[in-house]
Amino acid sequence: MTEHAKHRLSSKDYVMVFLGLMVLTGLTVALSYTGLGEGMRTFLAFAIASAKALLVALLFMHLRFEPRPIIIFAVTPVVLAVLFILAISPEVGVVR
Amino acid sequence: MSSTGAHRLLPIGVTGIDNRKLGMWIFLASEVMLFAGLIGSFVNLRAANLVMMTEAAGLLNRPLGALNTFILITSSLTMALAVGAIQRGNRERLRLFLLLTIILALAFMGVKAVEYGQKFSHHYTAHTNLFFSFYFIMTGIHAFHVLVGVIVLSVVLAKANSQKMDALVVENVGLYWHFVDVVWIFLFPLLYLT
Amino acid sequence: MTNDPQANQVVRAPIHDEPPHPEPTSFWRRWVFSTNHKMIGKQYMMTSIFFLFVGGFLAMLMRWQLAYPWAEIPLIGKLLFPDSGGSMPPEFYIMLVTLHGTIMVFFVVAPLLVGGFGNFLIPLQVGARDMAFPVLNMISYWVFFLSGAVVLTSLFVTGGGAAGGWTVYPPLSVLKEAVPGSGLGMDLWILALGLMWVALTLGSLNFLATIINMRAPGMSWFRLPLLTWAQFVVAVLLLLSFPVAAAGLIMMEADRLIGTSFFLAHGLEIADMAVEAAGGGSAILWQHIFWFLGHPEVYVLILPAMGIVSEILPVFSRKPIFGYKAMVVAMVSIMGLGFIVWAHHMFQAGLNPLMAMAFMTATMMIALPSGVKVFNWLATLWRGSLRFETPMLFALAFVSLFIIGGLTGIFMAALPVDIHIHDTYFIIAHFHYIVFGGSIFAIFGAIHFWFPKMFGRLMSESAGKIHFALTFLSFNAVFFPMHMLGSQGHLRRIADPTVYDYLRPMQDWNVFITLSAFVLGAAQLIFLWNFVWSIFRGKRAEANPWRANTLEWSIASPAPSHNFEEIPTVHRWPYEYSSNGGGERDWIEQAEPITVEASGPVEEGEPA
Repeated sequence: MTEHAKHRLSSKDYVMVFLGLMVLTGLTVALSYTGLGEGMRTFLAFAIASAKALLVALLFMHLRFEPRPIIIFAVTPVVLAVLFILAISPEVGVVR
Repeated sequence: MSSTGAHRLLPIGVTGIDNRKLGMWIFLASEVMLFAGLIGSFVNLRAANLVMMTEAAGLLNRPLGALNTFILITSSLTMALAVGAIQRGNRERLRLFLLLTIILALAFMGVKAVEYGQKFSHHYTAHTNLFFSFYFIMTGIHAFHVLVGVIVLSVVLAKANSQKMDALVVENVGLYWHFVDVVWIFLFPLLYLT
Repeated sequence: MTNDPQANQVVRAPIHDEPPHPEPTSFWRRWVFSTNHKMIGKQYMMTSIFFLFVGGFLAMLMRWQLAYPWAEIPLIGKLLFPDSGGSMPPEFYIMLVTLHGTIMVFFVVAPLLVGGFGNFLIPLQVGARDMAFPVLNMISYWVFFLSGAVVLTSLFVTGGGAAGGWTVYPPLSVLKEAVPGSGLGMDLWILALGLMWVALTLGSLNFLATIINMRAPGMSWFRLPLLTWAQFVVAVLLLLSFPVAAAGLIMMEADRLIGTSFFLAHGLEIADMAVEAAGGGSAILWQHIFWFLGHPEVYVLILPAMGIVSEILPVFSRKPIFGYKAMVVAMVSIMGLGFIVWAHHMFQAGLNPLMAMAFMTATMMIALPSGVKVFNWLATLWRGSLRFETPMLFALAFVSLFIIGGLTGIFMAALPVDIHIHDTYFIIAHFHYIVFGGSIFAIFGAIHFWFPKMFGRLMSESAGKIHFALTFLSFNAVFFPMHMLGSQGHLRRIADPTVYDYLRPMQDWNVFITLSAFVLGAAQLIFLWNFVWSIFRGKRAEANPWRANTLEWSIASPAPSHNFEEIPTVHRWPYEYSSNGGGERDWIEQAEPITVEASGPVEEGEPA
């Protein structure tokens, strides 16, 4: 598979991804000046960061073209990380 | 793998994946969990100390943070182009883009150093409060990863003309470098913007 | 490209299928900085056996103190504690508790099972010449060695080794003034665990890449021996849980070194002195972080032991393993559940009830796959032609002791019961039945079983049986009474039970346990003697002394430097026993290209 995957993306594609990342960065910076509430700002910041990370992983890191074992090793820790962050919040993430 | 010696045995396994690439992804999986531990601690303790944390976050230099984000994403682009170059067998372009990536990485560290200097001159250090504890620890560990990246990239650049340096080595360094970028993509809004 | 099991049946040229290199001849490259997985496995094993005796010695000191509080320790007391007239000071006792746990978990059982048997057996069992990354493998061992050296050093620094319990909860572990061991000893503990993280990450990376990518032609996922499956599952656990703890270790060291307060709340005081820290941190956060590693870590200690038993039982019952696929599914489910049950160690920390319920339910569910495994082992034994050689005795002991340890686990999973028995001897009994009765018994069995492949000789059968009998009896004498003591409320980690009125009537039991523990400790010297003697003088072993099927038995004993003359082609699963296909023999090895004229059905492919 590596043989065909490597020529699937041209330099132009990479530049497009880069521009997309730039737009999202601009967006997330702009949102921080809008005076939105803390909860909404955090949510949007996470959502935009995840979108950017997805772009980098899928296209810059070629995850889109990788076989299943690699995809499993990319996805599992992300799931586990989210689980960890949420599971500790009832004790750690509350005002004491 | 036209660019490598014809009779070199390639470590392609039963799954058709190169050992080294599989190894890099497995390594990155563990790195994700390292930062999950830090980021998970941060977001939860931030929620528990919201007022103090958001006030302290306001003290960071947003324009410099945004500049660094711009620099690092650009370096990801040059890295991706470097990988593309060696996959097409173009070692001239490979060297050019590797050099650009290294310069951008050093620029990132320079901006970081300026920021640290600003904070220290205002006596904001790791024990000022919990926010700055997290700020210095998380950006510090990230900066360490950038430093390792610079070293590895320099080695690859120095050996860029060697036939032993096949596309996979560059691709693997690229994977690591993009991961460092992804970490910053999360750290930047978490620390500077919320 | 997929990892579909069927697709892997395609015969591909495996990696490193070049003519074997000659073995390095220089002393350093061959015996010390070797990249050969078999040498690294033996290095891990020897180091861990050394630590087994260190950790055991600490346990003997603890037991002396519990039976005869503050009495002079015979023979060595005056040497160790000249200031207190030969009896141990109180802070020394909590250091013993801490380092006995740390050493046994991180420096004995895990490195023996994973570093020792994992390194030695994975390439042999998947049919490869070596690991995917032999140099990383060598680095892994030497980082582990360094980690061990650091933890040993910590015993001798001012203030002694870490004394916050093996879980090093803050504030004991964070505030240097808390106890004597919270000084340099604690810094070294953190350093040792940090190094351990590096060693285990390199190791599990290697294991995963090797098992995924370097299986011999025909070695599909469902033809892997169960021990290799266990190592695969364990590598995933270590790879993904240790980094979170590593982040915690970095934060803890920052708390100690540069005055952050990740784990310190506002307004802490020690002896009426306010602690100078910005505060805002959370001690519960450390508990979460530690147990996110700590719980998967205990599965790291038991899953390979289960794998070992699944290899030994079929060989000595001359029957195929019962329910191969169920065994695999059970291990993978234990792994999945193992990641999401960690907070059951924290029921008394005042968990949010909703989360506590969730963690309790998930914990209870682990009984299901564990039960599946136990019943499958019993069914494997059922009507087999049992041969009671030493490896088999240890494997049978594993099954019975694991049942006891597993059942008491369910008590503790139940939140209301756990509130009562938390931090008592009941817990001690439970996890020693798992980690000693389970893991260490399996390790003894495995050492007897694979010794011929490692050293080309057999261990003495009679010494092995005496060692087994003494260990089995004294182990139960030590730990079974602890169930009773614990349910009566006997606290763990206390140096002197006689200060509590309600514990005084139980003191005779403490003496009984201590005497049994001394027998248990002494019995291990028989093992040590047998091990060392057999390396040099044991009976020479043939290639396949136990008449087993997995690939490592198809090559000479001891295994040659590059394992296989040529990479084998695998034709069947590893448990083809009591089958007529082998002619005179009742077993067919995995790589034997036999066309079978069998009276019964012979599995050519994968198990149903």
